[in-house]
Amino acid sequence: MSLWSRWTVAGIAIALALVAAVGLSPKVPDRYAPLLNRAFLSSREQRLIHYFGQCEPAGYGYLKRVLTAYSRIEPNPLKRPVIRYRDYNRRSEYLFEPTRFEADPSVLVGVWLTESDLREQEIGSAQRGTDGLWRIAVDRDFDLLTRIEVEFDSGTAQHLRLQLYRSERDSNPIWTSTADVATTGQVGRRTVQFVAAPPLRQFRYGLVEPFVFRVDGGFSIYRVTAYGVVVDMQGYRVVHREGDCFTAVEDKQRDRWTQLTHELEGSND
Amino acid sequence: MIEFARISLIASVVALIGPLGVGWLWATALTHRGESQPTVGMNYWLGLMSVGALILLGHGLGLSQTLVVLLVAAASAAGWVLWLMRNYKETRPGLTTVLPLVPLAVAGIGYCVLDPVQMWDSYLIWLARVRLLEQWTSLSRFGELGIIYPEYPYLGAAAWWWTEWTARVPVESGRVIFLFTYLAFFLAVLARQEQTTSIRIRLLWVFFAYACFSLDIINGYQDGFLMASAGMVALAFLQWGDRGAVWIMPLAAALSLIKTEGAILSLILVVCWFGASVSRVPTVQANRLDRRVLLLGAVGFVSMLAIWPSLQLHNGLDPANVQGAAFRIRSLGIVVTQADRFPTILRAIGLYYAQRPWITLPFLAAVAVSLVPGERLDRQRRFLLGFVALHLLFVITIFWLTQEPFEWHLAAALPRLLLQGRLVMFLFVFETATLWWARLEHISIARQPIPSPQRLAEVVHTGRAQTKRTF
Repeated sequence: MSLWSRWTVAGIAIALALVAAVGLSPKVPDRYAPLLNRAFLSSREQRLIHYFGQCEPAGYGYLKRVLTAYSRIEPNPLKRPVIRYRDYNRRSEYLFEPTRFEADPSVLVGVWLTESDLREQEIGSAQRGTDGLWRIAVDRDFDLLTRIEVEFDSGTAQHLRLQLYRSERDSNPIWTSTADVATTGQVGRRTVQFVAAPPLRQFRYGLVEPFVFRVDGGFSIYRVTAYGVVVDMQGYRVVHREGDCFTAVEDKQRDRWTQLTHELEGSND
Repeated sequence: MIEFARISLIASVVALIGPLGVGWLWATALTHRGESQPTVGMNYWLGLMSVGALILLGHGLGLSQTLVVLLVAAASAAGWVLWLMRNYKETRPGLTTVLPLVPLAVAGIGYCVLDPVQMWDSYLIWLARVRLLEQWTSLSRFGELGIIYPEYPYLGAAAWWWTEWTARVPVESGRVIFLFTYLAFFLAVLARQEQTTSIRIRLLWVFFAYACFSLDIINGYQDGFLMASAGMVALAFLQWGDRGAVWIMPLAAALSLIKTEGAILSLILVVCWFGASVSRVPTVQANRLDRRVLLLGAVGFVSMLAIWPSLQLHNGLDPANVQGAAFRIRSLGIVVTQADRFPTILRAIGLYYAQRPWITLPFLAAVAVSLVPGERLDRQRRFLLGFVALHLLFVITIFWLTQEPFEWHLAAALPRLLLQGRLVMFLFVFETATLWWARLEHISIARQPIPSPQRLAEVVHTGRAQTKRTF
């Protein structure tokens, strides 16, 4: 093959490759729009802030501040605060080098968490399957299941029994509760609350399956709604907050982390 | 901009130097054995697999980080010394071969440097291992640190760690090795047809190099690396044939060190290669060298498959826990009750391929052309076609048996499982096209011959036909 032929083939191949690349690749998503920004190209820090945010969605900027202050106090280089997110565990600690793998429960960092995430809220409404079971699919982790609200049509039965299964595959319920719904002369739709006392803890982490209810009692059930708390802050006190990110320390270890609180306050813009 | 250019350059150079050095050791060993010399692309992959396996083995056995680093560095340096002494000029790809891939290489390197690893489990599984290797955390502690799927092997993550650690670049930049592996595969494919002058074949090659590419190959996901590695093993079988089995079989089994399902892929590759030529069984049985090669290959294959479970046992992990919650022993007991999943699985597979006509249509066309009456389907293509069929069967079986929520698992895992077989599909198309076009253009078939070690063959074989015939 002569040199000219080689260059011709190469030229055609490159042109074809470029056309194929443009034609076959999906549209450049917004994620890559900042590539045109010079600062973005010249600083990894800028890129991490862009992708993971100061606070939302993954709290890179805020975590950097907390970890910097935390590492001055905690001598173990592998320890880090517990990090909680509003949806699922994004494991932002992997962004930092050296990565601190061991979670220290005496400090909790909340990332992109609003006040409502720390209080009881509706987790979801159940869908009734053809098998008569009620299922709630949730796409986020939450710490506590506090109560179940059942809306039903009053009838002649006296009791309503609710059984909760962590997933379809479980054969034993993790919680069973019975409500006395006997009424005199009351007709129409009614609501009963099944309150978990104490709340079911660490109820749902990293699961994709729906959790399942069986409701027995001979009533017509219209609606089953679950309530819970995304992040359980019992035993913690928030010592620093910036937007939707915060740092909390365990009540019993507040003295130990006083310096952390001061450093975080001192680093406020 | 300067930071970006600096990281890109350093990461790329280091990602090439280490594996290529070890690859030259392979080249020397194969040449010494009388085998044909691997091409640069194949060399790179052989070196990268060796680097990853060395690190995984050293780390899993509890050797010190310094010792493992010294071992890898020494192996690489020795390879480069041998290369300088021997000067393997003939394996370098030509300008017209490399140029079309340059835009893909530049864009891919840019992506690896600029786009941090995303916060999804599928990527974090592997990033966690890179981070743990940075600290040389013992494998025995993986289970207690809350990482995702501590039971997964990590050859790819080990090679990734080597690159980012030796280059002293941000962790995401180390992913350039996965880009280079993908490109190395295409270079190795074309090198097999190096005597081919057909422009059509070169254009087809360029088209598929771009069409088969996706960000899943370089974003830290290991399925893309497994895909390229399965393609390389297939290519090695095509290039070195039965006599290469003594080293290709263990190499195939090393796929099990990348991802758990790599063990099944390696088994399919080996079964399909030998199954594609059942008529050779009497020849192998009658021939002492053939028997010895096959036996050694099988021993190497089983030994390599045993490495990861052994390391797990050694470090107190449970080797019976192969794939998280997806598979349990009771999966086997409920196969019949889950048979109603088939229509959904087949529909999902059909949809996947319907959305990717650039591989589906050429593949179907190649199958049609290969199966027309009077057309002789050679061993190479029987092997590749068999792999595609069995791999599809494997994917179907996974979703048939899974104990994860079926719909969720299907949506989450089907595309990446099918991705693993993509390059073998391409190989089948390419093999068929080269044979077909060579015939149309009245040129000789440009495949490299599969040489046998003549020195040994002359000693042992009674007939030349038995040593040369590979299909």
